[in-house]
Amino acid sequence: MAGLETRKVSQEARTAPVAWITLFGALIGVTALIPIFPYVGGGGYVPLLVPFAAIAPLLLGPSGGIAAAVVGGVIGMFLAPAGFPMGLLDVLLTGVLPAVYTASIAHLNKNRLLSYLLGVVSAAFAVLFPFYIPGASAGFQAPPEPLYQALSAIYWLPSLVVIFSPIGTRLIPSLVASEARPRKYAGIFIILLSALWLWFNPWAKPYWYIQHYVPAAGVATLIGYSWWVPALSAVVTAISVPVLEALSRSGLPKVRDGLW
Amino acid sequence: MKLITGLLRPSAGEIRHRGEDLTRLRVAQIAQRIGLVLQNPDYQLFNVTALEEVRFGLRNLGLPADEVERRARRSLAAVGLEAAADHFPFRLSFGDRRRLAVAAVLAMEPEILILDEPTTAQDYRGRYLLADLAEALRAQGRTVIMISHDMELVAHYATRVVVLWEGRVLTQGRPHEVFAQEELLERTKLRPPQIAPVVRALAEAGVPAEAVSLERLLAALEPAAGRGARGAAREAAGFVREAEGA
Amino acid sequence: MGVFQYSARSTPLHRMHPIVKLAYLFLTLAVVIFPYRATVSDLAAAGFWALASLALWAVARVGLRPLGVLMRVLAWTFAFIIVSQALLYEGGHVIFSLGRLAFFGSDIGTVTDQGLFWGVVLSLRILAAALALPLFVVTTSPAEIMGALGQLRVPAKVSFMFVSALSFTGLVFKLWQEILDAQRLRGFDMDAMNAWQRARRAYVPVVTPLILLLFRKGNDFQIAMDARGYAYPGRKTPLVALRFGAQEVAGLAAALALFCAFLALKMAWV
Repeated sequence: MAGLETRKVSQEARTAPVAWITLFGALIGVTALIPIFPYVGGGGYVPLLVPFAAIAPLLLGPSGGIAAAVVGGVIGMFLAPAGFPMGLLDVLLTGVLPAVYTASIAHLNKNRLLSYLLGVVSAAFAVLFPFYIPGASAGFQAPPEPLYQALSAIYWLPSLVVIFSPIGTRLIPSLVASEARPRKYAGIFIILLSALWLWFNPWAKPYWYIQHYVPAAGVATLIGYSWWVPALSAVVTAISVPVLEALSRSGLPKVRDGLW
Repeated sequence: MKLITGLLRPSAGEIRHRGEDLTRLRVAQIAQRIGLVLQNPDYQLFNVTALEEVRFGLRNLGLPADEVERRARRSLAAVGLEAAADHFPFRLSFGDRRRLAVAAVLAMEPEILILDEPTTAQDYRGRYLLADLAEALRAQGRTVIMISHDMELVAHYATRVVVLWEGRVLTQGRPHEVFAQEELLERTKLRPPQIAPVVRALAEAGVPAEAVSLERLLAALEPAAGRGARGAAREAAGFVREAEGA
Repeated sequence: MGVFQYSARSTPLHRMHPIVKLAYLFLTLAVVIFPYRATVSDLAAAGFWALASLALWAVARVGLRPLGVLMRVLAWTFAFIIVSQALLYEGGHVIFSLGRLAFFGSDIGTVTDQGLFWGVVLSLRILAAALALPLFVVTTSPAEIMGALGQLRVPAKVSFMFVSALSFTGLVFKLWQEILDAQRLRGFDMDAMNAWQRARRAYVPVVTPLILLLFRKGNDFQIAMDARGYAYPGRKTPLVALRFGAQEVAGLAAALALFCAFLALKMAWV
């Protein structure tokens, strides 16, 4: 037995294993078949895939979560093509972007520059697309101002405040790390609300472009959905906190940068 | 099983319980009368403590808080898990998770309890624990239905056996009556327990046909062997059980 | 599960290299992203692409049932688009009017022929996109997808994840259903909940055990993969050897020809 070598297995958190990403991706894909809200603006439905894609980075870390969302988005498109009328574009908008935004805000301190860039680009998109860019050249009329910008701001300003202030860099990490359930709920809710508010812009507005919204329809949609993003965030928080708690007690190996 | 509990709707016919057609009720309403313990407990465990897991079903029934608490703790005690009340269910052993699933169903106090393959993936002790619990419930006047391929278990606990094959009832009767139909059982890939032919062979010695479990056979042999053999018979029974378990 | 699953058949589309079918999907994406106007040209162009995809459905023998399912879901989208455009579009001949109803600067009291027409054009644009996608799904096996991704130099790890996840969807769906049944047996009546109750509390008892089970299974899966040389260095052997031959070149040329016809139609009338 003299030549036998033993190796200590590290108990440190590791990146999400391929098998977990694969199985969670499959789960995200399957949830494309389950509607949770009617999406009046697009005439279809918002699938359960959105909350699952949004929480993926919280469970699997940013890279593992986004990878699972890509896998799940593509599979969701295959399983429920009617929920992805724009094909690959919808994979990005509905499947992948919720995970990208959640990852960027939940892990703000890991890569601030990227998060700042994503926030600013999303805000610019919210302000300009489609009524100003491409605007009149593509046949879009100018919206009533300042009403339109005031309503648009709901979908980007609070998120930018979170990203660029200690709310994002200090408060969220301390709330999420807390053992107290209400504080944890609050932390996860702020992450998801900020992320999904920003996500709404690139998610909804391509449909405005393709369905050629007139400004009145845009204004009505912004008003109609002002309650919807907080409601969706509350639903996603209600799903994710028990899952995070269960994982943290489960004895399963930790994932690096997962919030459990 | 899925038809009785309402998970599937029959395409024809009806299922009656105390004169009421169950097919008209929702699964949740049927669950108050008929409790099903699934093979895999992990399909239902999601709460952070075992106690909370048991409370979940009771809250669904809309019971008052004190009643929820009373029933939850009593059920945990009934399956021997009172000390694990604050444990995270996912980290309990498989046997304990199975018992927790039973506690969750027992707490709802159904009139009929269905156990799906109670001996699956259980060690010897766990194997009989669920069945002993079921027998205690039967003694209290409840109906217990067990779905099993374990003929030792059937021989030991069942009072009436129904053999199903490809969706049809092949035969039914008391265990020894069913075990006597070896060719029929062969079609269902089942074999009677080893003791069944022994009991039949001992019929001439006065052993009753019903004694198809070791305990009953020993009890039947006791008068013939004399009361002095009782201790040896008990010992033999314990030895055989341990050997089976090993 | 879904009606759009791979079905093994021997049609020209089934035999076609997946990359050609992917190229058709990307061309469809371009068809959708193009700017559109309420013109006969754009109606004809979008309708042409939708018809072309429908013809390919017939070639691939996809069947009418999936088409019915797709149309049922999309009917709601089309109804929304046509009604909203009919009410909000400015211009054209008035079909009927309830008088001026102001709505954030627009008049929604008048329905015009141009508004209805515009709604139809936009609906056809969505239909053109939605009809193309199932063609790929129904005619391409997971092994072929993996082979094609390999030829596109997609890392084996990534294509493995896609193909494995696709084959695991059946397992996940089964687990989802079984967990749901298990909770219903405990009096958890999801069907009796309204949309808000369902969104707020219906998913936790299903999702939590499902994720725990999946991660636990994931551990076993990872061990099974590693035990069979998943992490072995070097290139992996493709399961299906895909060849890009004359048929594929012809397929690509046909797809490009369709796209050129689409462009020509878009520019034919004003």
